[in-house]
Amino acid sequence: MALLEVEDLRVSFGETRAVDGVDFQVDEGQVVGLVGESGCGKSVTSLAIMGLLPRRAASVAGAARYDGVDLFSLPRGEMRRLRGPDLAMVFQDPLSSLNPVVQIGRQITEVLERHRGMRGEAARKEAVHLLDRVGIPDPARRLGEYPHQLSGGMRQRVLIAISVACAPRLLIADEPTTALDVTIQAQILELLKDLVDSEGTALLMITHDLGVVAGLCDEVNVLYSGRVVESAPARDLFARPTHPYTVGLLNSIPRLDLPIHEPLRPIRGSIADVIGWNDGCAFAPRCDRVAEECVAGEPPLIGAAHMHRCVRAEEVA
Amino acid sequence: MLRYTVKRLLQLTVALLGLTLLLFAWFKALPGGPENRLLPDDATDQQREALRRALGLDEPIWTQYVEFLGRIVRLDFGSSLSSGRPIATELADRLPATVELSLFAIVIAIGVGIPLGYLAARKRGSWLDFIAVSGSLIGICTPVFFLAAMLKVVFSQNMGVFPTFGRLTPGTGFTEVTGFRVLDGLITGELDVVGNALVHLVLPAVALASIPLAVITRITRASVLEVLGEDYVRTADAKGLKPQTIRARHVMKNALLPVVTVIGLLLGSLFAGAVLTESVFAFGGVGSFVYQATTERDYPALLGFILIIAVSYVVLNLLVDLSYGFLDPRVRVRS
Repeated sequence: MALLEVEDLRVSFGETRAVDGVDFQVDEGQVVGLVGESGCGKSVTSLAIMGLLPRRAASVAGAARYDGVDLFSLPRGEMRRLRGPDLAMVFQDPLSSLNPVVQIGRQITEVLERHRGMRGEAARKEAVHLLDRVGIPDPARRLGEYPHQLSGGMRQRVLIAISVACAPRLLIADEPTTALDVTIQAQILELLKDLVDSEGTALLMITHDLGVVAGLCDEVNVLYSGRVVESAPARDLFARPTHPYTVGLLNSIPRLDLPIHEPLRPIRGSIADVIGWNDGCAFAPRCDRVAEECVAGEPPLIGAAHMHRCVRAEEVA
Repeated sequence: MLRYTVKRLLQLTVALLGLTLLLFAWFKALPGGPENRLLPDDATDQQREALRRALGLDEPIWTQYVEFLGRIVRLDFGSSLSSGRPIATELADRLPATVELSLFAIVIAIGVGIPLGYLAARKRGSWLDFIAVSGSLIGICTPVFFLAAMLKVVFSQNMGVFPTFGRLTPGTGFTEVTGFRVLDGLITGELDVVGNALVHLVLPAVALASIPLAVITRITRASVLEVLGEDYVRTADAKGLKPQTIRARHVMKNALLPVVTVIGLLLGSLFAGAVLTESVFAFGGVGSFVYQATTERDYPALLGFILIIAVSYVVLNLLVDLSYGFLDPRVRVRS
């Protein structure tokens, strides 16, 4: 049994469907990527798993089984006990994700108090240890500082320290490097990798950056318009990208090993607001290889270890 | 923090100096002049001239201003034109009543307004939210004197639940210590006085609290709504913290910042509201005194009152600024 099994996850905000039947799983200690451009439903998927979507605005269907337990049918109090020691999350914007009027130390120790029963000096010591572990220099002094006194990279390290404070079994990182400088991005990714490797934590990495995926993930799920369009082991995906959308994503990354005047080939158009998989492939309007069969009906997810949702995969390859 | 405080104190002094200049100009611009008021209509020009000289009105304008400032610093506002007693004494006698009333009003406004605003935001769109929002609109729109009169008619004259006027039932024996009846009662152990004073405070305090209550409810609601949508509240939720921890440490600590600012401003304006409320309930505070002074054109009395309001306004805002620096670490560093 996988640590996390997401099955036919559907999330809609009123009439708008943000996630339209997503399936994937994360095994114990595995690093899984969830890749796609803005608006494909990857952040909503992660928030749905954590139970952090606004209850009134979002309706969630399908299942997310953690250790065999369906998270969506769990009472709120139970879910709250899982968040922290079992499921933890690192967010995208490290400044707005930390409380501006509460000291860094307090924002760490409150998790330790809540889930590990630590108090006072013990909690403080553990907080220093955690900050030290995520590579923050002079951690004891940082405890008394406020988020605005730290740089962006430091703030993200603090958020990571908070998320790993209770040694969760599954860590969800939602674009943890998007708001950071490139040099810092590499450091943060390295840190995440170290942490999950040493603790055996499973990591669900949400990103739009295939470069991040290449260096980090075991398995990759490519999301388009609220559905998985390709799912494969990372090595396999980069070696034989099958879905035209994945191919397009790879082609739009600048590469140093290609001639300097080779133009980038971006995917034309942008993701549609209202997703339509019912009338055929949702990617069809942007696809270079679109044919009649693409819009004839809903394309199924084909394959076993390397799955894709393209009816013309054979012709494309 | 010390530099911040000193800077604020300097700003405060400048503001007060500006105010005295304004008041002085207002005094000078009043039609007639004091000599016409003090002398009978058939006084001769020589008599007027003599009085002007005696009052120092023939001095250069800046000498008069310095003289004016000097008297203010010595708290010498002159004597009331109607009672003849020194204005400083008159005000000092009545101030405790007004302060006591204002404190009770602001306690009601804060004690009800903040929880109500919070609940309205949490239950946005519910009947409670509807009542809070429409109720606060009515509260802001209702003139204090009207509400005070209505409360008096309904609760004291018709239902007889609360007394109609005064701070204590006439004839009640009490020992004066601070001038605050409730506090005095507690100090001397005269619990009947405490109860009696509280009963007398209810209606005026409720009337006076209406506008601050409405404002605090609205600001709290808006502020909580904003904070609830912040990323750090989501982070707190992702940590699996208890709802009460999230509420206190992550929502309210941030949401109260704008509310504190507004409370400071409201405290200053409470004195103005007290003038009207006290006159309806014959409360015997500064308010009733000023109401009388206004109708009788007792300008020195008004001058003293305006200065007291101004000073309290400025001092309260200083306290708010300082508490802001205390509550929000970002303000502390920027200074």
